[in-house]
Amino acid sequence: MKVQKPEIGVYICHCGMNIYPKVDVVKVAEHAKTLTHVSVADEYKFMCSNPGQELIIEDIRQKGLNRVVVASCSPRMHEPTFRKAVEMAGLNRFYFQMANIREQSSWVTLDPDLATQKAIELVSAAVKRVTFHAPLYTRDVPVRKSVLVAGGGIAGMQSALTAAEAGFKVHLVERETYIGGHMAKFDKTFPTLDCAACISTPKTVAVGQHPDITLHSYSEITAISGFVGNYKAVIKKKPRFIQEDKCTGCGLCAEKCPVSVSDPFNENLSRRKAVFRSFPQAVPLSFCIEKKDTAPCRTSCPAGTNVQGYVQMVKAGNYQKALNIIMERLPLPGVLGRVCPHPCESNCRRSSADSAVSIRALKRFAADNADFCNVPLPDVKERDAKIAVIGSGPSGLTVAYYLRLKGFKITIFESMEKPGGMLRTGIPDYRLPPAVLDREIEHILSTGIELRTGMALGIDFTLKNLGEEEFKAVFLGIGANVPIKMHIENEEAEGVVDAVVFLRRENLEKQHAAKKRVVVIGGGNVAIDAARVAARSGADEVSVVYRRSREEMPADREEIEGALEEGIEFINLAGPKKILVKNGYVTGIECIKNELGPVDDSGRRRPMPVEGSEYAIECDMIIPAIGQGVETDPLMKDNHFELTRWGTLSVDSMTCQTSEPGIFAAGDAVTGPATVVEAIAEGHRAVTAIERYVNGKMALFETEAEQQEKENSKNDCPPIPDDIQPVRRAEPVTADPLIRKNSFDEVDLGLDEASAVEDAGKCLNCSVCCECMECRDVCEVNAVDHEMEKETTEVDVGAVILATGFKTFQAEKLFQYGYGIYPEVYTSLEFERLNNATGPTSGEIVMKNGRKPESVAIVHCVGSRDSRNNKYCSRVCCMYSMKFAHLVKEKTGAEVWEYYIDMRSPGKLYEEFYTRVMEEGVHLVRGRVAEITDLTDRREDDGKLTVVAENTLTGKNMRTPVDMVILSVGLESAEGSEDIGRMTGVSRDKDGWFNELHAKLAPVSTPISGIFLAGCCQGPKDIPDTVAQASGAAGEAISLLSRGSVSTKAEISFIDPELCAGCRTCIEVCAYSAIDFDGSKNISVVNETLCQGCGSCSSACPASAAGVKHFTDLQLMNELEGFL
Amino acid sequence: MKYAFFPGCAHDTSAGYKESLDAVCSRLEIELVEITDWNCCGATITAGESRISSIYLAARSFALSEKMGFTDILTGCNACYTTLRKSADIIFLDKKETDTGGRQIDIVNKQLLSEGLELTRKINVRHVMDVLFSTTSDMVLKNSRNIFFSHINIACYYGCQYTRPWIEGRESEDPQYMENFLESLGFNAIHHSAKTACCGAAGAMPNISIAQTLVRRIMECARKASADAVVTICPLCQFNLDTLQSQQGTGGIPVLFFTQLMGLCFGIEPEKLGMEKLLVSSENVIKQFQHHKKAVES
Repeated sequence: MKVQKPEIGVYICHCGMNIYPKVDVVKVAEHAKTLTHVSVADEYKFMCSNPGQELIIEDIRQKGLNRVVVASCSPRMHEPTFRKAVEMAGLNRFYFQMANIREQSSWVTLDPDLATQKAIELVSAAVKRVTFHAPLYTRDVPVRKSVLVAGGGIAGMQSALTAAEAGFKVHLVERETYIGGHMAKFDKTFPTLDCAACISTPKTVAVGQHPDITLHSYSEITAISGFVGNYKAVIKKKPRFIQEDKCTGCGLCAEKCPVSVSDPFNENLSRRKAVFRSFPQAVPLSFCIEKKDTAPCRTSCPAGTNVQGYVQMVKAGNYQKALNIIMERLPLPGVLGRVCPHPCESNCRRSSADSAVSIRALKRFAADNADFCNVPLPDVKERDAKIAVIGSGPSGLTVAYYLRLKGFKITIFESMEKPGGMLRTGIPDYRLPPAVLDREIEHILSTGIELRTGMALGIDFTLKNLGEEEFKAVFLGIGANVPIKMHIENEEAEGVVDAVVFLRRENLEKQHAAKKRVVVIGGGNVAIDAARVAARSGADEVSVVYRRSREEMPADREEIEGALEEGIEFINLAGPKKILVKNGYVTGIECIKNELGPVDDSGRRRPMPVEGSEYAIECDMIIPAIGQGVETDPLMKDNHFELTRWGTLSVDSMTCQTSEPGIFAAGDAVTGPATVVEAIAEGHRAVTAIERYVNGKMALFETEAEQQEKENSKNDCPPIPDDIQPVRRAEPVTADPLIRKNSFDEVDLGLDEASAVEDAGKCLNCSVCCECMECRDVCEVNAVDHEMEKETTEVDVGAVILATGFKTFQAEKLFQYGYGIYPEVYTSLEFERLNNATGPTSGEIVMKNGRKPESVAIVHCVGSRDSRNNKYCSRVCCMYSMKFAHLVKEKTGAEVWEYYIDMRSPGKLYEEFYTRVMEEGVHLVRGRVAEITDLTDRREDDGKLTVVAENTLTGKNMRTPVDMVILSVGLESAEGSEDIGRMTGVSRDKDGWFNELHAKLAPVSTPISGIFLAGCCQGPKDIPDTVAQASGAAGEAISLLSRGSVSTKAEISFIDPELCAGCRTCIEVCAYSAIDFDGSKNISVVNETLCQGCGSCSSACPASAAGVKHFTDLQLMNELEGFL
Repeated sequence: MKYAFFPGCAHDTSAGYKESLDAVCSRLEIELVEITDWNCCGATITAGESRISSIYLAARSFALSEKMGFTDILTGCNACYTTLRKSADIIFLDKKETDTGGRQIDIVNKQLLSEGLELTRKINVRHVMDVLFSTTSDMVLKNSRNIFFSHINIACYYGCQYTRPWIEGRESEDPQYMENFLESLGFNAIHHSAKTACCGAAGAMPNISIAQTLVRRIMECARKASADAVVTICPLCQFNLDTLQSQQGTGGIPVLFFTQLMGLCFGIEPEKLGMEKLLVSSENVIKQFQHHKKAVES
């Protein structure tokens, strides 16, 4: 290729009076003529004008120029103009370079000589650079004829409709459940006072119905990639839990929903249900269920009971439904309502406000006040598989019941005469009346479970027999019944009876076998049970001896207190040494005093015996209650079960399967003595495992384990309101200690209906939706789907319009205005709702006490025009404040004071509205409000708020008592606009508003080609301006896309194949995925369609193989040289 | 601990401030050493008339206490506190050259020289309340605390010069410092809106009607909040609230010094705290206090 000798033309622009006379343009031109390769140098008044451009074109054509330098303004202004001129003259447009002698010299340099000198240097650099320019070419690539609109407020809707009407496909993404944005909350609009709903609903309906608009409501954009004409956006749709296409918007679900939470659409001035639609005209009309993270009560229940669900049902008076919800996870509600140690209550978030909800008592209340016959059973599909359940304690009953509900044939083997296991033999009747247990077991068996009592494993049958009977799986719920010995002297003496044995005899046979002076050894629930039973079975004195302090006793607090009330003595920090005996009978026990030493493995301080502190306690009966082991001998006859070092059955923690395939175990037999609810929880695990075992699907456990690791909790429970009125915790009535200690009648008499309902009302609904399924049951079109999950969609679009709107200033920040302290101080958005027909007061302007205000103050510029907050004017507040003044006057006749700094009412009919409001008698006070306080000067103003301000027109200080204050809060950039900015690359100004390409000439474009701005995301503006700008943004998008193609950039990267070492560093750093690897040549190659010429690869390339065209090392080094 | 003490003009004559402060300090083993030959701080009036005089008035007392070997000056009066602290900020923190030439500290030292005094190091100005509260150990609090006092409602009143301009944000108008301390002693500190409202200060002398309006605002606020007593930290605040409400006859709420309440909790006799000097009798508060105390002890 023949290299042409450079022939450069240099043109110095006067820019009217902008460059000349500060810069001596003639001198600059004269100097330019002396530079190498410059054949023409000239100056002209306006180079950008037609004659100016003609000058260049003529010179190229006539004088054979092949390179051009123009020294004028910023390239952002006129580089395209001159490139086009160069191209018209037949040169490649890149044979052009611009020197900015206006912004960089004449405007910013005071001294004309220095300005001229700088201009000369800038021109010299440009001349040096342009010498090494090379021709570059753009390519046309097709564009997608579709538009993404981010934000469904009035701006987004207008843009979407304009683009869709022009025949483009539009994806409109809105994060709320409805479209309409802030405007949907307004009542009237200034200055014409037409109703916001009347003028915005036609838009929302049109958007909802337009065939070319795909509405993504309740969705957020999580990623935007690509380039002009070819953007790709990822849209995440949050689950509504109600199918939009099915929901008719009838609202039956919300009527039934028991959960009420504060309503953000009404600015938290009213409450709504967990299933809601923000307002009646909402588009889409579908309801939505709000679900937060699972409530702590539910997560802390070992069995995963839906606590919030049944508590809400008790609140709603639907005790049957409450019982049904409990029965989904707990087969023994009445039992657990009495004996559960209620970990749920320890985790109840209400306790941080006053006290935990009395969850256990509510469970019992539901169980005692509903009918087990009415608990709905699923349609059971009978299966042939037979399952044997050995033991009818809580774990056995759980496994039997829930496997039965899955259709299996269940046979329970129980060694005693009656089922119930420890529930029957271990827990005394005064805690758990047998009738309650019988009722619940009867219900379990009524589902078609076979019960064989008097069948002891190892005596009446063996595991081998079960195989012969063709049981597909066996569940061992054999409990832990073997007393653990104390291993002290004389343990075999007459009068030493283990607690398990003692309790069993008293519970089943009512032997009344306690002696006169009884000592119980131990500190758990069994010990307390034994002590209280002994007191009821003839003992005169009962003492509980425990080696640690009372605070460290593992027994339930309620039980310890009950025992104390009944006169039982606690001897703490005492260890039994030996049993004192006379003639083989117990006469006492020798104990040693303990003191607390260092903390041991259990986190408690270890009791240390004090040498020589032995003492004797006289007694004639000793009941050790220090633990129980598992009787495994009968199992070991035919099989070899693996045991733990505590002698309990060793099982797989996921599947509950023992070392013998097909034999599962749970409950005390695995864990050692534990609580009923833990036994049930493990029972559920076994149910899942046994079903999968029978179906041959055990592998599912492994895949689930992997998934579970990925899921983490959101922890997004709604905040605890700070205005909770403390409510006393509902405490159940208990029987008189003097009477009850002589009887086995139930001690805890439960809650009465009124206290139960009131206590359930304390629930804070931590997960919002309580999953009671009332909505699902009531929905006539089956639109409710509680299993719905979030959906991710990817859309391809040609252009993006950002219409993300604004948020209002947080009025709490200006504490002197008392927002959040005084109830009658409102923000403007709150007042909009108060005044709205669909708002909390149906449009009545009333105070919290229901009365109409007689005087109202409106405070302008809250958070705006304030050097400590936002310095800018929010532009809309003066006008909406006057709208408020008019509405207050019209609806209440109250006196209205407006406190303004400057009244800003420029706009069509705006000033006229200002005049109208003045004529209506509104008091206009020019002055920023200093303070809003409840300090008043006159008795008759008690309860009012005083607005303190200086009237700067009269120079007088004012203290005005008013009933209500409205703070006209300013506008701030919307939550999340930072993320959108990052995704799109559109920068934001210091206040967070998106930067337009040019403040005057490109107000809806951004520096990122194909991304446009509409509405308040670019800066505060009112509805008319927003709509105009939104139409403009859509127009720009249409004009970009309608040609069907766009030119790619020419200034993109290239990788020199000779230098590339194939290290792929460039591929890692490329944000546009625009570099591919050519395996055959072992080099990286730039994809010219995708490359945006950002230069990351160029700076990262260790071999200097990557560079950016038009910014080559040669060009840049020569430009620098030109300066020097 | 030993501190230089700047009593200010109103300290000795106020109703029990001196007695109660001395009693509490001796219980907390704090020694307040009066600055020898201290002079009037000039109050806010001098600062308005002549800035340089105001700075010099403070500087002289600073130099006197430096001579006595102190770095911290304590005062119990809000006007003294604010005047001295503002002057200290100007003298010690303002490193700029002044119009009359030289740094502020050099100008001041030039004048101090006539008395043979000199300022060489920074003096910290502190309110006695800050020192007393931070010196009271958790142990003392625990021993003095009584849950039954919570029936006694206290309206803490800081006056307008304690928080401003040193404290910013919400705490400047709704401080919680005294509240937290008195609550930890067992009192019920009630919320009210007049904590930092102006009492009229020395303006009560030339124009009593303005002061009366201001005092009425504060006392009405305390009354509406069901206060059993108002607690102050400044002799002038106490004087205005106590005397002017007596004149107004709006039903008396006793106006105590915070040191008097502390003294009661430490078991000091009311007479030794000068409580009989208060115009609106504090008898009811003392009675309630002793009643609760007795109930606990029995």
